[in-house]
Amino acid sequence: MTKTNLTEKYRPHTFGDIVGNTKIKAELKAWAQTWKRIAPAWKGFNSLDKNNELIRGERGFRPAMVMEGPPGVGKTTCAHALAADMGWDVIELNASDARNRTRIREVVTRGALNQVLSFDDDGSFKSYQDGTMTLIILDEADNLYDRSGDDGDDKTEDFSDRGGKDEIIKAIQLTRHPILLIVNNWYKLMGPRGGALHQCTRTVRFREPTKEMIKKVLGRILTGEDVNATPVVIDIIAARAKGDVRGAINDLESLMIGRSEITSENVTTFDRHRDKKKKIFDVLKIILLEMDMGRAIKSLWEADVDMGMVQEWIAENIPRIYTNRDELARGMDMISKADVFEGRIRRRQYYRYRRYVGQLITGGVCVAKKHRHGWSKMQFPEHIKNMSRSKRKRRVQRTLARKISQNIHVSLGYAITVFVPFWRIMAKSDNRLVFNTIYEMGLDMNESAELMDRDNVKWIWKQYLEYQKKRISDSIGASSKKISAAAFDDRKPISGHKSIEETAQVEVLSRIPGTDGTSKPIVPKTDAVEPLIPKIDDYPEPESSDEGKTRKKEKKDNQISLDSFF
Amino acid sequence: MLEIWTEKYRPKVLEAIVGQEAIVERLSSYVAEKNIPHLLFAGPAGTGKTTTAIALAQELFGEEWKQNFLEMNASDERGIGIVRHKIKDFARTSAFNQTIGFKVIFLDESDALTPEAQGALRRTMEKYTISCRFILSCNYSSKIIDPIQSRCATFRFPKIREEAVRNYLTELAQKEKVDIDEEGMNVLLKVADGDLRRGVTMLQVVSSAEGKVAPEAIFRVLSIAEPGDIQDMLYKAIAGKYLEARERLSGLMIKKGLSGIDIIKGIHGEIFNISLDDRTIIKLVETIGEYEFRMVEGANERIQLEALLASISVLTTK
Repeated sequence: MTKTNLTEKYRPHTFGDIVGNTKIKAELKAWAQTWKRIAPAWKGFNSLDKNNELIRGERGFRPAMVMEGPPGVGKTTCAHALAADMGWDVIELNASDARNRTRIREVVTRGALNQVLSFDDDGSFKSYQDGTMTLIILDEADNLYDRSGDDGDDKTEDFSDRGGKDEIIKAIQLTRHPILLIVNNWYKLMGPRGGALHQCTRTVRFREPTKEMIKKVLGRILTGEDVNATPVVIDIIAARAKGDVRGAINDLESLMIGRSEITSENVTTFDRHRDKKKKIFDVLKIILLEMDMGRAIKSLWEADVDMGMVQEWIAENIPRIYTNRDELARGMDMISKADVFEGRIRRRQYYRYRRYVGQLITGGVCVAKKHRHGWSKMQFPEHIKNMSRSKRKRRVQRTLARKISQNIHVSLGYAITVFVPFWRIMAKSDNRLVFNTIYEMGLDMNESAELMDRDNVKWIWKQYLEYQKKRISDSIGASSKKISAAAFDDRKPISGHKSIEETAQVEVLSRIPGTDGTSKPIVPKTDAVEPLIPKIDDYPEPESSDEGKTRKKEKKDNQISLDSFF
Repeated sequence: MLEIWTEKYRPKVLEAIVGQEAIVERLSSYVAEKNIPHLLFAGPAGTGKTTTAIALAQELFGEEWKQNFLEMNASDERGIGIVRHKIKDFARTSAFNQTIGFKVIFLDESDALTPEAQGALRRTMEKYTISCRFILSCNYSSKIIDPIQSRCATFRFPKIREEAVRNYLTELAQKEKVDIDEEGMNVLLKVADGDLRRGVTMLQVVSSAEGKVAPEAIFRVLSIAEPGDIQDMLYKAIAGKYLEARERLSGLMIKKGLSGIDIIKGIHGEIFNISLDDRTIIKLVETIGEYEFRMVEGANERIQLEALLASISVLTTK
């Protein structure tokens, strides 16, 4: 008979008791010892570069560690065992606490900054002796609904963790105490503004323990509880857990209650598999390879991705499996019909249609084939990969199309499909026109890059900026009127000075080789570009400073989807 | 001033509009009276609908035309939202110009508006008719619901006669010192096919890229600017190379930024150029129509096009 929960009772308290993950344990230990050594002189992460003396021999040291891994593999256990081994106190904050900026500041940042105080778990201060350190554990840190500055796709309405991530980053940069972040999904933690977080953390990845390791743990518990179980029983439980130690212990516990002996007959009462979400590949197999429509329909609800994504996966892989044209067309027809329902759902907000979508993309696609298919390579939806790669480019295209459409009175579609291709042809030989278009339409560098070769863009912009400078000095010289500074930034000419500007423009143009209309254009050399030219990527667009991060994030988002499926 | 010739030489007065003498005459009398009814301009591309609307506004309002004239393209915002918000907001504020007393909204490509949006537009037109006049332009007036048509004076813009296009382009070539011969002009006229915007654009692009506007030069430019990606995709599907066809589709949508409607239009336009038996062609027309319908009804244009490619692949199997 068990009184407390077995997972708690048998939770290892020291590193030595923890199964597997030897490398990780070593890394955590080394990190903890470094902390201990440097703590008295540590002035926060931002002092790292300047204060080389402090960290000599500690290259690459990071004040915080991220522990990543699937549920139940022992991340929290490891964190606590580490603290126990080091003799540190622990402050733990997990998802059950609202973790908005204030709360984190209250508990973590102040704790992180303080050398002589510690806290009770409720966040109130308690004093304790000098020199002792406290391990700050942020459990489930990837479940931080962080909304500040994030206009991403996450439509969550829960803002209670608002600003939490910024505060965590700040805490890590300032901390005088070691911090551990525990996550299931590293990419989700990093997300927007992940760059700063990435910079001040190091990550250890927990692997799922093998069946053998889980059996070892179960054996230890059985001995401790003085319960007998046949090897078959242990084997089934361990296999069913699929790497989730905590799950295995819970299963064992449910079988143990009221018994002193477990036989294989007891085990048959529960499913062979823990109710774990099916990997998308298993779902695809049932739908695309097998002939069981009922199972195909049911599989949708077991998939570890949402319905829209399942649809994308199926659409991507139908042609890879259904190589027969009839099957292919029938299968795609089902997807298409499902999408019509999806459109109606959106238009009328009538969500009952969703069941038809689900059944058509699974059962419908399943019966579109004539017979079972053999395994064939399946892939992540190609289009989605390409879309996220080209997100930025498409945004620039959109703003460019808008400017063109306003200036030449056409639709966005005409701007992109007709105007741009024609214009690109002219841009190759007519620098004057290029210059004029940038100027008149008020294009920025990224937009103009859509219209010509990248090397050319830099060169044209060099001339353009020179012209800008000249325009400004000319208008000051030529006009006694005061011109506001703001006018200088405006890339559109100020109407009052139009004539001056136009003269200036012609003058500059006549100095640009290849624009006199007779000689062939001189293709500029890239290395002739001076620092005067802003880098293509950081030219004016206001959001562009976040650009790099966003792009990195996109890449990561992409990886995550891939990683979790392969 | 923009050096794009279609803009540089866009007429600012009704007088200067090419090839639409009857319409210009009629509209000029409106200007003289300083009043216009709601107008519907119907006709193919490049016949002067937008130009006429802008010139009309300039003549009516003079210097202040921009404050009194709202130009929108319905193919960019085709939903009911555009009517409920943008149009209404502009329509209900009073006119800037006191002598005229109304403002003008020009809604280009209004045949792209959904029927619901047109329904909403009809009420707006009625309600704000004192302070605001509408000029709707479209390719086919049949796509405009009857109640709107009955509220508008309809002007049909015919394709511009070849002679008029020739005279205009010849004059333009002289002004811009373009080297063009008789043969080049003939090909250019054929390519333009009564679409003046296309004619002017081609003249500028070819002369800029190739120097002399000669037949080969025109075809060279056309093959670069309109490389037939859609045809390429279509032929891959017909050949049963579905994955390749789909890859091209993805490229068209992402890299070229084509909309689903652009692509389905392109596919439809190409069907009759393929050597297939008549029955198959008609079957394809039916299928393409069905998928355009699904695209309008559905949520994801790309999914619909992918399915269409699979259907085309099956229908054209011999």
